Amino acid sequence: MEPTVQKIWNGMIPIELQLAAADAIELLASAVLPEPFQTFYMLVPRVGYLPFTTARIKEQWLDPMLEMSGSRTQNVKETEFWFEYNKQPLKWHYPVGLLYDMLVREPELPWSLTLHVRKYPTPKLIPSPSIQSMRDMFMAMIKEADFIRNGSTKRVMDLAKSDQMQLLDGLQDHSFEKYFAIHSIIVPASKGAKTKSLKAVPLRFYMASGGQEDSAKEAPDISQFHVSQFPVPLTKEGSTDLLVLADAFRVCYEIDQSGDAFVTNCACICQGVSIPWETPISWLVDNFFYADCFLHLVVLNTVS
Amino acid sequence: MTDNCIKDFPYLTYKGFTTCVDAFEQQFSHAISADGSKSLRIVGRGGRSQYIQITAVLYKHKGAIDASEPPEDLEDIDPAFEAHNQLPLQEDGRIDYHIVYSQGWRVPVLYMRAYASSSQSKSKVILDIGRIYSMVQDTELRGALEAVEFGGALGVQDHPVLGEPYIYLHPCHTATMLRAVGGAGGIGCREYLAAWLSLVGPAVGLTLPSVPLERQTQK
Repeated sequence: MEPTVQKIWNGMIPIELQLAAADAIELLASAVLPEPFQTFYMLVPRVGYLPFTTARIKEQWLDPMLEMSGSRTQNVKETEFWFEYNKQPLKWHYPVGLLYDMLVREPELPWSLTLHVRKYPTPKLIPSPSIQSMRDMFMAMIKEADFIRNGSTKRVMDLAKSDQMQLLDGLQDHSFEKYFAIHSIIVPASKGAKTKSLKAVPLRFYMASGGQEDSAKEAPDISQFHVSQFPVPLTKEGSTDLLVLADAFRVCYEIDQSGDAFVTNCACICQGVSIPWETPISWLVDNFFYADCFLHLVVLNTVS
Repeated sequence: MTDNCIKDFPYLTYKGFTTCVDAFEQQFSHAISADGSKSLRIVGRGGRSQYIQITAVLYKHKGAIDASEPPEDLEDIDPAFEAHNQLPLQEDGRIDYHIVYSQGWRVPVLYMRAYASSSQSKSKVILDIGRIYSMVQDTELRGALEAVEFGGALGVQDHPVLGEPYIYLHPCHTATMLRAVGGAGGIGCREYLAAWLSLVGPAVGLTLPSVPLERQTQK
């Protein structure tokens, strides 16, 4: 039986891409793309990132399409690509699985996105997505996770340059072996020792604000999500009792010990799975982390 | 007077940060707004994610040709440059600096956004770091700019409270720098943000005015 960590790593989201009509008109003088280029399909890891897909999109779809139709306009630059779902630009520095969990209520497979190659929506999106800027963003998150866990960034900073490259290549190429060889240096195995030596858990809650009555029905809006981060301990203060997900939520949002409306009214989604509120954080830390070593937890209102 | 609000120097709790913010505002708010081009306010006071906003209006000399390169050596003043400096000033954008607490790094982090015009509404946001350096260089803040050492630590990231892209100064060296400045005794809440800003501010054209002694020693 496959270990949970491997299952999470293997989680994929099939994406169906269409080119924005306005861009099609500019590039091809037609809103309708020529066969067989009308849609482009790709399978993207949940723990992966959109900037790692743009090279393949350009090489396998846009370039041949433009060449075939004899279009003079060859200048599509990957750093100007952006993805849209339900009229919202997708944050390219979020893991793809996180974006899906935030924005898709009823399962939508393949996930239908629109690719834009013009009119980059600055300042809504961080400018100039590229493989290098994604790798830099990722390293910043890994360093922060290291600091939260250990009180220093020593583990990450002490990595040999070649190991750092391997970690990033493993992420980019979605190679379990390459990635986890280095991950296990940053996050050493051995559950007993891990539980004791962890200062705090790197986690973020993504909660949609907005009226309780409406939010379950309206199309989710990425800008309505508020990101809350708090370094959460593994055990309750002054005891060895494990902190559970509900406790972490209370700590993060400063809710009273007795407050539990959210337990009834909200669901917490991580890696596409609805996590019971009584799940110990230490189990989530060991199994449901994203490649950047953070737990990214989406909180949705389930009352309709 | 013992100042024990910072128990784990150089790291702050959020509560410690809010105490530092109050002390900073008390000491510097008046001096910062004294020349009329800067203002300070506390956003989200009393909440779970308050931050300091310092707005600096930028000026350029009216009628000046947009110089893409500043003079190589600031000491080497030439008459044409001097004449240029006599022209009247006009507003040429603004920079918002935000001092935000980082839950992950447990230190303050500096975020900033530049705008093409100083008016609040519908002003073009500038997130290009090179362009911002040249905007600051065109103004009287130029003398305070010490870009190079911290240049590599500037990046763009979503603002933790506002959720939109801002330029930020990466915080991973903040603790080390503060320890070096703080020495064995550390730094108390009253001086923390001033000390921190004196380390990170110059890299982005933000310097602190000097403050009258009686304000510094107020309880």
